[in-house]
Parts: sequence; structure tokens; C-alpha cells
Amino acid sequence: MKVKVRIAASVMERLRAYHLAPGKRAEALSYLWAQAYPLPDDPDGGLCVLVPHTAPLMLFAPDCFLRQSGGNVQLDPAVLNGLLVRFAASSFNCLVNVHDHWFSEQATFSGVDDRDDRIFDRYLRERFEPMLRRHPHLGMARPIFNLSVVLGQQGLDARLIDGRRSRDFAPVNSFDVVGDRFERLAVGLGSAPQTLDEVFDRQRDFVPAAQQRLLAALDVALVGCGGLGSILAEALARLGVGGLVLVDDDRLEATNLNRWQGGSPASVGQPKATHLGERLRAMFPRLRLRVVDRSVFAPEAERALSGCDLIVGGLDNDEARYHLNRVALQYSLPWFDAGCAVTGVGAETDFRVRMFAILPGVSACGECTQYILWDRERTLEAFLDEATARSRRAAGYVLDAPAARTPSVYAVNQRAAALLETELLNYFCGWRPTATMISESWRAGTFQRADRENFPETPDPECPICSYYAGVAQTEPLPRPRAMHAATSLAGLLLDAQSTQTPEVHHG
Amino acid sequence: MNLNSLLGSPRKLAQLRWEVANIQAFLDHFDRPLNGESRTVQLGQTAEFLTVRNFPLPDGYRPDYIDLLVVTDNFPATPPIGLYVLHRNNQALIGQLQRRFNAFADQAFHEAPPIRDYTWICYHYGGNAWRYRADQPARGDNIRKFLASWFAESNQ
Ligand SMILES: [Zn+2]
Repeated sequence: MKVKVRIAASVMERLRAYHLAPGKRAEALSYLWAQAYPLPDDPDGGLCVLVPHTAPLMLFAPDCFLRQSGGNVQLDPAVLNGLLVRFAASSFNCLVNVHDHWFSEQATFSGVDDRDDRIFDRYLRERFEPMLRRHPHLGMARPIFNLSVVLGQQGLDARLIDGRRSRDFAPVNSFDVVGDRFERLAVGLGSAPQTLDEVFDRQRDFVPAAQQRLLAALDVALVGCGGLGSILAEALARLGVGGLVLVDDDRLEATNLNRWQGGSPASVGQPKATHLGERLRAMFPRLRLRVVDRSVFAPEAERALSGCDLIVGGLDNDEARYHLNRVALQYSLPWFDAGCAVTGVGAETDFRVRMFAILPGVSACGECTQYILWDRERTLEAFLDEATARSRRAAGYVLDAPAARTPSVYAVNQRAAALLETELLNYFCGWRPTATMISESWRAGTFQRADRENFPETPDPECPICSYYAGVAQTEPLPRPRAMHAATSLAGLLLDAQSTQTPEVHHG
Repeated sequence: MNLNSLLGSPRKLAQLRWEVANIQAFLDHFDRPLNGESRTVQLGQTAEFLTVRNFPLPDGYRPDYIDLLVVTDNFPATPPIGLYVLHRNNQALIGQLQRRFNAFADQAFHEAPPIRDYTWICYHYGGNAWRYRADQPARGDNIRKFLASWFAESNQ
């Protein structure tokens, strides 16, 4: 069974400061609440545990402990009870207990830890879960996941506990910290480092071996397999990214061939994602590849993205960007997006290139950043309910613009892809602060780069996307253009609006 | 069909129930309307909208109340985009409102409206900037503030 953990760097920092404070000589225990969701297509019931930057974190004062010594700690039962009552009332489904082996560099679970974890798990299964089923007023009845983490000065160990399984401890396979940089922490004693593929020999002087291995272990979702996406995909594989999920529901047209990397006359009519997958498979036989020939708005795409570690966008529309912003926040997935445009004619011609990165819980999202990443008013129009959309159209608020033919050229796509890939590599290697926004104008000769040092914009606490939707995974439906779901939604709306006109009215 | 999207998540329902209670508190500030009925707010069965009966209108409107419908299917990601007023048997009042809100004087009222008996009014709350705090909804923007601003605007 595969278990992944993705935790916000700010939470990890607070945990480290509490548990591993210099001079601290006593073991401590803390709890945090997280959201676990099933990993897609995992027959063994794999799971991903999300700890967003908004996750409640309980760091206890010494008087909350019944016993606390150098190598032992026990929480006051009254404190634990209070904590469980609040957890029950929350919408989180995963309880994470964290303790420390402050005295050691590496951390591995001890025999005492095994016993404590089993006792607590038995309590959860035999008392807590049945209580939720019997007393729904205490909180939503739901399966509870139990994650245990032990921190050492350098390393950590983590496992999922479930006494109902034949193997009650499931070790965590990857523990990722999403911050200004992306870190994958070694869990337990780690595994023997794999030898690096000689293909990457010429980048080993500047890409450290650990980062090259991390890239090989990563699964990146590429959304958009058009001109830009076809270049991004190949560049990702050549960087050493080990797994790619390709998402696009479009088919290649003859007019794409001026820029679709590797395209030939025989490509015309082929589904872009499938065709790109075939090309990549021939070039990189070891690449883990999954093709999703569906719209990014399709539930299949959401499931596939939820199994990845990072999103790369090569999109041609803002509706998809608005949607991906929510995916990034709901699943705590860093998202790097590239875009380009050829504007003007004649002496006004300009080649513009842009990339931005949304680091969920770290940087401002696309809705609360000061940068205008998409035309908000126009984009939201696509997500309005059918009734309001029709009303607005009838009232003259929306004009149906004919689909424009967008000028595009291979060279500018290459430039945008190169920009994104360099910054993505930097995100893992940390040569300089991670860029969140870069824009370039060929005509004006300008290149602007905002990064986490010169423009450290943080999530707005009043941004619903960065707060309400952070780390909630599939428990909140993603925004989908009404074209995807109008039929059911509208029917419900009309039916209900009429039924409320009956005389019996209840107080709210 | 995703049941979640139809019923709303339990969290969203909880947030909307808070909104409903908060709107009811706002309505309770007002005296009973001329029809003698109470002013009430109710969440639609699918949590995609809420309805208000006898929402107060400022002095000068006859009658001084109207039934409303607010779509909440994108709540809390975005503010409600405009609101719906019940026009059935309310033609004179609609005429009065039309003088205040030019937006719905247009075709919408004369064509068959998408929600039977309701007419949409274009009302942009705070330029559609929406500062919502899930942890403390009273502090940020919320649907009560949205409705209270519309009430204030219909007074001007
Ligand atoms: Zn935000």
C-alpha cells in the first residue's frame, strides 16, 4: 500500500521549532489534523495525506502532559479528550500525532512507539469511530485515518496505522514539504540510492544527485498537450522527470504542425495526448506514462492529477487556469504555468512570454495575487449557473465573441517552455529564490522576474480559495464550466425554486 | 452524477446554514411587512440557492417587501452574481425597482426568464471583490452584507 504525505512548509517549520528546539531535553507530543484521500488507480488502497497551511496544529504546553521525560511522553487524558471532540466536529478525516526523538539524528519508531500507536489506534477503531456513528451531532461520521510521525534532528519516520489491516503499520513512501522550495524528506532509514542514468551526466555538475533522483521519482501532470505542451513534455522528460500524466482532449489539426513538436502529416487527426505519449514512449522507454484523453474539467482528469506531485500547465484558456488554481489549492500541488502570445502586426509585432508558479499555501494564488493572471470577470462567466448566465446574456451583459484565430509560432512556444523548465529545475535545486511570475516582451526588451525574495506575496487570509478550499482534496467539487454539468444543476434549481413558493415556509 | 456537487459538501452546508442564520438576524431587525407575514430566509434543497420571503424594501416602495432568490452554487468561492426578485403579481413594484436598477429593465424581464416567476437583477457587490473568511465569516464578506448593501442601494 502506497502512502504519500504532502505538508505545507509553514506547518513543518512550526513542528520542527516545537519538537527540535535547541536545548530541549524532553520528548514532546503534538497533533495536527489532515485530509486523506485515496490515490487513483491503486488496487492496494493507497492514500495521500494532505496537511495544508491552514491545518489546525496542537502544540502543547508542559502542563498538558501527564508525564514528560527525556524519552517518554503522555498527554493528559482530559487534554486528549478535548482534542478529539474538536477533531470530531471538524471536517478533517486524518489525525496525525507527532513526537520526537530529539536526542538522535535519524528517527525510527521504537518498540514503545509501536505499542503506543497500537493502543491509540485501538481506541480510534473501538471507541471513537463507533461514537461518531452513534452520535452524529458530535461530527460527521467518517472513516478516520491515523498517521504517526517521529522527528529526529535530521530525519523523520512516518507510518499509517490501522489495526484492521493484516499489516497494521503502513510505512509512508514519500513525505513532501511544499514551500518556497520543494523538499522530499527521507523517511525512516531511507533506501539505498539508485545509480543515476548516464543520460543525465552533463547536468550532474549543477543538479545535485539527490535532486536528480527526486526528479526521477516525481510524477508530473502536464495539462495541455498542444504546441506548448508538446515541448514542455519532452523538456520535462529530458530533465529527468520520471513520471508524466498527459491531459488533453483535443485532436491535432494541420494548422498545429507549425509548432507541435515532432508532428508530421500523419499526426493530423490523432488525439494530442495519445500521440504525444507515443512519441515520448519511443524516446524515453523508462518513463512512467499515463495518458488522459479527456478535458481537464473531467472527473478522470481530477483523479489523475490527484495522484501527481506537481502540475505543469501549457494551456490556451483561462477557464482551465481558474480550474487548475483550485486543483492546486485543494490538492496542495505546486503548479507551474507557461503562456505566450504573438500580438500586433507589422512594426507593432511583439512576442510575449510569461510563466507563473502557484505554490499552494506559500505564495498568493491566482485569485489573490496582485498580478492579473486571467481576466477574472470573463473567466467566471463560464462558471455561472445556467439561469444567471442566460439572464446576463438577455440583459446585454455578455457578448458572444466569435472564436478568434490565435497567432502562434514554434519559437515563442519554445521560449515559454524553456522559461518554465529552468524555473522548475530551480524550484528543486534552489539556486536562487523560486520565481512566481516572469514576463517578457520581445519588442519592449523587458524581462521581469518576481520571486520569493523580491516579491514574497503570501496567501490572502481573506481569499476563499487559499483558505476555505486549501487541502480539502475531493471533498469540495471543483469549478467546472456549466457546459459540463448544466443539465442536472439547472433542473434542480428550477424545480426547487418553484417548490419554495408553496405556502409552508420554515424559519432558517 | 456527483452527489457532492448537487448537495454541496457538509462543510458548505454548515457555512450556508451560518449565512442563513445571519441573514435571518438581519431580517429580524425590521418590523413586519404590510402583509403581516414574517420575513424568513430558507436554504434551497440543493444548497445551490437560498430564498428570502418578504425581504424589506426602503420607504417609498409599495409594497415594502419582496421575495428574493440568491444563487449560491459557487459559494464561497465567488460572491452571488446579482440576485433574483419574484415578479409574479408584483408588476408595479418591479417598475419601481427598475428605476433604481437599470440592469434588469432590459429584455430579461420581457423574455421568459430562466427561473419561472423570477427576474434577475444585476447587482455587483463591491465590484465583485469577495473577501471571505471561512473561519470568521462575520468579519469578511458574506451574503448578509451582500443583501444589506443591496437594500442600502435600493434606498438611494
Ligand atoms: Zn488565494
